[in-house]
Amino acid sequence: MSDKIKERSKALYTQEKLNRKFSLLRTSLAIAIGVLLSIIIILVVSDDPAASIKFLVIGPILNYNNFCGLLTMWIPIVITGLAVCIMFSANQFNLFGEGAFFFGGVVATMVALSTNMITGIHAVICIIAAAIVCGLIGVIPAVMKYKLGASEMVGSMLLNYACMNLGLFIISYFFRDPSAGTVVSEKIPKTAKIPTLLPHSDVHMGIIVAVVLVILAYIFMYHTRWGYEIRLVGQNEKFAKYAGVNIGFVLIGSQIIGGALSGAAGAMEVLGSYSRFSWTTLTGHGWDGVTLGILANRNPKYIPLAALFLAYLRKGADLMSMKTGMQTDFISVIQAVILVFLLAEQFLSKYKQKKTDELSKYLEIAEKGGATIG
Amino acid sequence: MDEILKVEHVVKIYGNGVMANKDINFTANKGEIHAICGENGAGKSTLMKMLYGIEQPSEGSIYVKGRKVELTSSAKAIENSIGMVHQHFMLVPSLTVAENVVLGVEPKKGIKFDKKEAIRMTDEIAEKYNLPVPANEKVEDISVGMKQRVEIIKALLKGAEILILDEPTTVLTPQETEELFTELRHLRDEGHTILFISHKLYEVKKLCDKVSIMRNGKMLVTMDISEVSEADISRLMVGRDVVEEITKEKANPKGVVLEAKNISCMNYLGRKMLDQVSFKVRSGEILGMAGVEGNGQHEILEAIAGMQTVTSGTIQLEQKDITNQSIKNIRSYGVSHIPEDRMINGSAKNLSIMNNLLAGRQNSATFTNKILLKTGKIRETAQELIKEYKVKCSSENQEIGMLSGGNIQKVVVAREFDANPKLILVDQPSRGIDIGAATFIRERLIQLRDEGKAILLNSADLNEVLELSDSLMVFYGGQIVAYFEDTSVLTEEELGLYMLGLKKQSMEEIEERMNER
Repeated sequence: MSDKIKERSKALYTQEKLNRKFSLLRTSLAIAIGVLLSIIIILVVSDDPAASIKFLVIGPILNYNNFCGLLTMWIPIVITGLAVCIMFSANQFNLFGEGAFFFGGVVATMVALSTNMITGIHAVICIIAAAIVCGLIGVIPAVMKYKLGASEMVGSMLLNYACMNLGLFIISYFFRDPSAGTVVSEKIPKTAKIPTLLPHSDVHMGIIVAVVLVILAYIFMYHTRWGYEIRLVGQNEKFAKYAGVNIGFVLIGSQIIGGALSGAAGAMEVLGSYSRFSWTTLTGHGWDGVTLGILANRNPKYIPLAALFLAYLRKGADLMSMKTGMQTDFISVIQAVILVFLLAEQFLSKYKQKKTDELSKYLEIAEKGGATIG
Repeated sequence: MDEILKVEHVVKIYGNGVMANKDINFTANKGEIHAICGENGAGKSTLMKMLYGIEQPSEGSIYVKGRKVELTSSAKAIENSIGMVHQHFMLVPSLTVAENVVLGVEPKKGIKFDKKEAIRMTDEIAEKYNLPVPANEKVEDISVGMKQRVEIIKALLKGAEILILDEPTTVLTPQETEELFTELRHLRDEGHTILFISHKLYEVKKLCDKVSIMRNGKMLVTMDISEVSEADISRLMVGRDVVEEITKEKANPKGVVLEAKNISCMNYLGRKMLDQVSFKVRSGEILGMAGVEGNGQHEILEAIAGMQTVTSGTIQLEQKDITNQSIKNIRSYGVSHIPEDRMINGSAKNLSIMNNLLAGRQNSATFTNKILLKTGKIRETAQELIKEYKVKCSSENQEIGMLSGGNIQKVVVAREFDANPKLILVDQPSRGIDIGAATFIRERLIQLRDEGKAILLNSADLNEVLELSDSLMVFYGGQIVAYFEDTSVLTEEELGLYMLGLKKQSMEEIEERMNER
């Protein structure tokens, strides 16, 4: 009898469990398909498939140096991923992360080269300046959306190129090192550099900032009223309005935060991993943020893991290319394949419906059984 | 009689795991009006959707005139002479009646649309079945009853022999309902089969030849209408005896809580939706609003809640002017609002019950510190409310979209009642929910009234309005056309005359009556 009751109370949860299981299955299957595809490509294309696969799969953890390289890649995309989580949670498909990251680097370089401060403070000021400037620029697509109804997606995409060209103009006209052969800035002063954390590596203190930001972003989204309002607006704007949420405040605020985070990430990347500003084009970190935001289902909690996966894939591909001459471009194909499978709603839906049918019938029978006994 | 439609062992399981239809067996004959009765959530709509090709059965088969059919789309259903009149009309308001009727089967002259032929086709059907419609008028200009007639003609033109009507009388006045019934009887005599879905059992009893009763996704029984009484049907639907009567003491109203003076407002097209509306709601009374949908009852609630801009006039809450204030402020002054559509304005389906219960109160000191939300308190409150309002769910973490309509409505109601309001705006409190939940909510409203809340109620269900309200206003064309301080003497028929605009009290009379108390 008591077993029966247990059975039934367990059954109450199973549909939700099934949903969760399927979202996990979908994600893992999407990743597996992507990885499998990459292995197939390697087998077809590579001169030395065994070595290629080895570096792709275990390269990043083969030695200390490689591992540190992996961590260095991890830092910036964690932060751009958080930015996307917050903006996408408000249902704002703002893609300004890319431009903000680039321009954040420019602003940090500007501030670093034109001010003098003591070590530590200098870097912090540069990063904060980048965050403020990029946050403010992030207002542009947000206001255009809120006031004029212009798609924030298109607005932010276009803004990316405006920011890139404005940044390149600033660097090449005001901060260019004339003695260098290419368009790069003067050397960033030592005081503005972010100190390294692990010896003999590029892993800088930014990694701590990234971890702290993950925690803060999670608390912000799930344990404060502002995060709650953002999620409310994202889930059902009309309902949020009815509940007294100031929609404009949320839409614009979330995009300011997104811009600021991406800008700070760009600043940290320049001050932590480069001796001068040397980007000549958009870096792709903002796009990675979008990938991560989707992989993590907009929850900051899952960003570190998703970022680790992406960084691992990248690092593995880099190593493979270095050691075996295999081109790394196909990694973006893999990334695209994974995203397509994740975003395709119909993927596995027939199978899921079948399982749902079975479960539903089982519950029906269980209920009948319970009813006759009870 | 000939069997025209047969449903065999049909099972429907939705993507969220809900088994909406469990092994349904059902037949309908040629030339009968066949009622399908059941509580909301019993599976009527699902069955109808499968018959009209909107949903596909997970198992089982459907036969039309003895031939097995695969109804994979509504086009397929129409091909198999099944037509449907939806509860919400599927008409293009800016097109004429004739244009709407021929939509999908447009007559052509060369490559041009043949307007004359469209009108001729419409008139032909209209004449044949005695359903007169103004073929040349735009749909937006005709009455609700007329729109319904256009829907029926539309289905008939496409060769429908089986006509599904989904709660056709909810939007009609008693007079229009009478007309509809005459038309339907005529169609039956012409050999059509009508599946009539309704909650109103006296209508079923009056109109139909047969009745099939569903409960919990199962088809219980099909009977001749002469064999059963209304009470029998309702007992079978609910599975127990229903005590529909709600006990209510006489109201004991005190001070004025809400005063609306000369309120006017427009919709987004610039059409005037409210025209100089004035009234007062007192503490401890339920003021009801009746009217055909779209005559201003809904708009006045939205205007008070701050969701609709008022173009002139003032709204005062306990003498404080709240006209056109932000929704946040209005809520903080003590106004709760149960919105017309719980899925659009009342909840976020992918958020948990707990998160849905927090909405509107996220800034209150009860639930948030300066920075962090009081998660423990929020969870505790959610658990208490779930218990108090008997919400059927697995836990407070369950997504609200997985619940049944009645349970979602209970969550919405729980949230709004728990905010300790002075004034409660109630818009269609029991639309589309089961009798159990509806009774629960109605009893709650009376309890709150007795505790001294001021309640402004709008409902399309005349029974509900008459039963709950202490006094009643009737809206027509954005104005109050009648006011009754005592609803117990009022009949539905009389109310219908006011709702249709056929009868009207003078402005002075209304004002006098309102101030008399």
